Amino acid sequence: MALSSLRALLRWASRNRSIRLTSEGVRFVLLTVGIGVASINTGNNLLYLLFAMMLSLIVISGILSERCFKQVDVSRRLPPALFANQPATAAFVIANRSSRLPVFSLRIMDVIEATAVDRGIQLLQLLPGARTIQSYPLLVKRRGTYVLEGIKLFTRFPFGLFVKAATFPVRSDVIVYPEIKDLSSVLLDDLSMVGHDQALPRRGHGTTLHNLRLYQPGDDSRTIHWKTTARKSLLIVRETEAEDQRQVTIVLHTQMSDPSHGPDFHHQFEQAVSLVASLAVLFTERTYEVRLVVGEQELAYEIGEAHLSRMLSLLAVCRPTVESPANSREPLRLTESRGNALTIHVLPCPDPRLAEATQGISRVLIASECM
Amino acid sequence: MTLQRALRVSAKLLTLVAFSALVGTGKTPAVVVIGGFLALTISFAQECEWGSRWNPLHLPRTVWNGALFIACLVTVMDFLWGTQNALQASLYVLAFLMTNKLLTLARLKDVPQLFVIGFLEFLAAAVLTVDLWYAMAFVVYLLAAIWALLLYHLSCEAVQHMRVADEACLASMPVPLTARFFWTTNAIAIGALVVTSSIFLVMPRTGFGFFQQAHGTPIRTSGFSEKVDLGVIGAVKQDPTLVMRVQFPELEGEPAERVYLKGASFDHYTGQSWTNTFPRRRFLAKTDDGLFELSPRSALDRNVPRVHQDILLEALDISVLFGLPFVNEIRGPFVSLETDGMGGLWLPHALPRRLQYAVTSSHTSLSNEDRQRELSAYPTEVKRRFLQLPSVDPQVADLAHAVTRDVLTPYGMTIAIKQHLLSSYAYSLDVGSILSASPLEDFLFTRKTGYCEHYATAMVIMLRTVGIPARLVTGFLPGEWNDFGHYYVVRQQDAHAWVEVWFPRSGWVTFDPTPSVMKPVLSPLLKQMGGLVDSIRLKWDRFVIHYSFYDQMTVAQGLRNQGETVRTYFSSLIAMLKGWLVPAQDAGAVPTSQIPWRALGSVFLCVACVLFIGACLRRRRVNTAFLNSDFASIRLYERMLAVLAARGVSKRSAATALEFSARVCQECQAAGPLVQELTALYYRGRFGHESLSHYDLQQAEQLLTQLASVPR
Repeated sequence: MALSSLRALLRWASRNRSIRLTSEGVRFVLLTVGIGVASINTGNNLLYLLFAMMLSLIVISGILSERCFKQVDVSRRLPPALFANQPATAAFVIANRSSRLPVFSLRIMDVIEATAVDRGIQLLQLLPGARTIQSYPLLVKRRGTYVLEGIKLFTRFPFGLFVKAATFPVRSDVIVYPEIKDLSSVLLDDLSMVGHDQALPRRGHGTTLHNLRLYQPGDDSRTIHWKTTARKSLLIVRETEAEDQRQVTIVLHTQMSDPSHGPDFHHQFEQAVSLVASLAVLFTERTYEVRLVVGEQELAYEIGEAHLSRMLSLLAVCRPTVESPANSREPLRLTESRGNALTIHVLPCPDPRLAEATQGISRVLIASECM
Repeated sequence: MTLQRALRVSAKLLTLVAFSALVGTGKTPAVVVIGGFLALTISFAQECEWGSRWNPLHLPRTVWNGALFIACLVTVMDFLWGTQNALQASLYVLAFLMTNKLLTLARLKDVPQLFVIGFLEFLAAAVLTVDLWYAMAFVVYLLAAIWALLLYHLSCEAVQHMRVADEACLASMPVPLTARFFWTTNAIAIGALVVTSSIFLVMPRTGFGFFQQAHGTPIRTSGFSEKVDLGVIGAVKQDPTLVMRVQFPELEGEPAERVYLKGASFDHYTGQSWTNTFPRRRFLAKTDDGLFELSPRSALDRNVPRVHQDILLEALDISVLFGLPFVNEIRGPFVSLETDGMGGLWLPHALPRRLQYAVTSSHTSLSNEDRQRELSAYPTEVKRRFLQLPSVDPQVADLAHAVTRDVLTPYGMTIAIKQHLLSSYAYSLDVGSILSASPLEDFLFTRKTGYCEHYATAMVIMLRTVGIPARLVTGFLPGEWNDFGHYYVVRQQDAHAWVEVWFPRSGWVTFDPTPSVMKPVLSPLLKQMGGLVDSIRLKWDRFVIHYSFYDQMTVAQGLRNQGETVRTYFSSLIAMLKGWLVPAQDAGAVPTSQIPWRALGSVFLCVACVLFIGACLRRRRVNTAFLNSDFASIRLYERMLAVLAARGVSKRSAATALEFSARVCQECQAAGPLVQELTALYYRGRFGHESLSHYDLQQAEQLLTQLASVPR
């Protein structure tokens, strides 16, 4: 009973707190022990007094460092989404709640997977009632859900004898999109031609001539068709056919055909995901309606930033699936496209069954070859 | 002031305090004192404008090494042939290290080294002294240490913060020495002092006793050994050295009767000196609770008043203990204690340290029967010891018989002799330093002046001449009464000798034939100041220097007793309340007059106080939270409403802030945008979980100013 109470007390006392000695602290404690031994040995009350003074400095250290933590409010500001391997800016917001006492010597770190990650944020002093925003670069290597479990504050205040740490359970979940890579020029040239044969018979931004008409105030002078203007002696402008409503379907194949190639496949799969994300960004920028198929999941044709976010979110969390014996002999799943919409299949690695399956498919990209 | 300079100055101040404490012990060699203070002066001068060019002092390494070698050499020589004390000898090296660090203090890592050197000096002072001086030094040292440690820590953090390899950044970094920082740091020091005191009082006291060191040389005194030459007390009668302090814990003020602190008793007079001829002393038995009893409690007469005394005896070169006659029991830090055949208390050997002990004595008064009883036969042992006479001049016997010619009772004879001595002889300490061959006769018939020893000796011999057993006692008169601490300060000059006369029924009774002497009177202010300082010194001795395990147990026992008292009180109170509230169960209903109204009132008052304090704390907590997050925005909005109200636009209490803002936009187009912006700020601060920044507040102030200037 007493033991369990003691344990409970210890758990309560050590909740979210840890303490360790600095090198100065080790020397101080050794000196304190020395004085303690001397005072007990000699019974000299003045040595007891010095011993008590040194112990009191330790106690005061604990009280003041705890007070530092108690009077601080700390939170984190993160961008809504991150891209893997692309630096972003995050920030800690630290406020001193006390209207009387300043806060000294704070070091702020993120807690990720139960480990404190130093962001190089250090506060020398925070005045009473003050609030500060300390930003830091954040680089996440892998796509997926990035979890910041808490914020850890460290302080050596007041005497630098101990490093006391307090963990604040400020949890932040942020989605990390796949890495967007620069596509190779060959691929870009190839893709730049994609969809030009799908020009829609209406006006818009594109390259195919749609119509010639009289110049009207406000028209872009660069669209003047000079030959016709010269022939007709009237200012004639050129209108192009819209290309922004062109459609593309991107299919990411997630099945791992040979589990023995696990490590390689995972790397190639990540490349494929990155390639798909890069393509999604490219086609969204080119105002394509993009449809994304990732394994069994599918996002219908849509356009715009919101749709891009949805696609990237889907890509952020997709995982390779192992081919089961039941479906191992099935042909590669091919996705139906709308009309003559372009379909791009992205495979992590070359697949022997692909030659048969890709009959009539617009594009098949092997991630390991394209990236 | 820059952080670097503040740190340097605080480190040097800390060292100054430590070195001053060391010098205050009086055991520091003169060369160390002079050298140390010179180094400190130069180091402080380095912090001034004109002295900064010698900061740090660049001397060739060989010079420093040579000086260190000399310091080590002097230390060894002092240990071998000088003080022969390792600690005192090592002060040379310590002072050299301090000098070196003070004058070459340049880098941040030098500062903790200086701290350690200062601490070692302070530690040495703690070992070398027990003076009140150390108490003052301790308080200042703690304050300086808090400042120095805090500034050192901030400097380290600043260097780390700047991410530079050297401490160059400190030279330009201002110290955050605001008034708030100043008072906060001092408050930390006071807190540390309180915690130190608490730990000091609570920490269990044990002493293994290895390497214990006595504090100082024992005070030389005379007149309290087993053989005392007549006239030796005179030598100490002009010495103002403090010998002991005597406190009467049961008395409010100064005792009404004159107090005698008895030390040694003497039975045999050789004509020139007194001796104690009791062949051996008896060891006193120690009870389980550390008490030495001279006479069993059961044997004591309950009608005889008993006086308790707490005595703090300085380190003396004698082994006798003092107390009011006649001592019944004594408690103190003694391993063993002896008593002679005359009630004297002796330690096995003189202790070279202060001693605190408690004594209980019985005050003996002369019975009426003895006052009237005529001279009768005394027991043989008494006669053999206390009627002994040396070969003195027959004139002494003649004088004694002449003085007592008209009285028949021993008491009457005693009084007659005492009166004769009081009236016929003059008190004087100026009796020459050379011992006379027949000092008693010189006093009685030739010089007719003398001091206590002469008077007492004359009385004892004269009493013995007429057949009354008597003995000489040496000890101390009480000295000065301290009004602040309620105790007597006893000095060497209060050494005294008096007479004890034996009566068959009453036993030994004290008589003092020495006339009172007027002491030189100090000015009241000086006396008050002296009393105050001595009172503080006594408390320092009592609660710090001689604070012991026994004291801790006493405090614990006291707390337990208090707790028991409180528990009993509340138990009885609850029982009383039960009887009052449940009267129907039996006939024992408590009459209204017996209801403890006062106790009930106290309880209700306590409950009310607790509730009030709780409510205040809760309110304060709410207020604090309110103040931190929302207060600025609310104040802002209230000011805006006040400005608008002054222009005739008042907000209905039912309207929300946005509704009111829309109404203002409709009614007053000039003020509308301003109100909208201010409302947005209010919403952000009040409901947006975000405090307004400094910039926001500035902007709000501008908006309010503009709003105030909008025409009505």
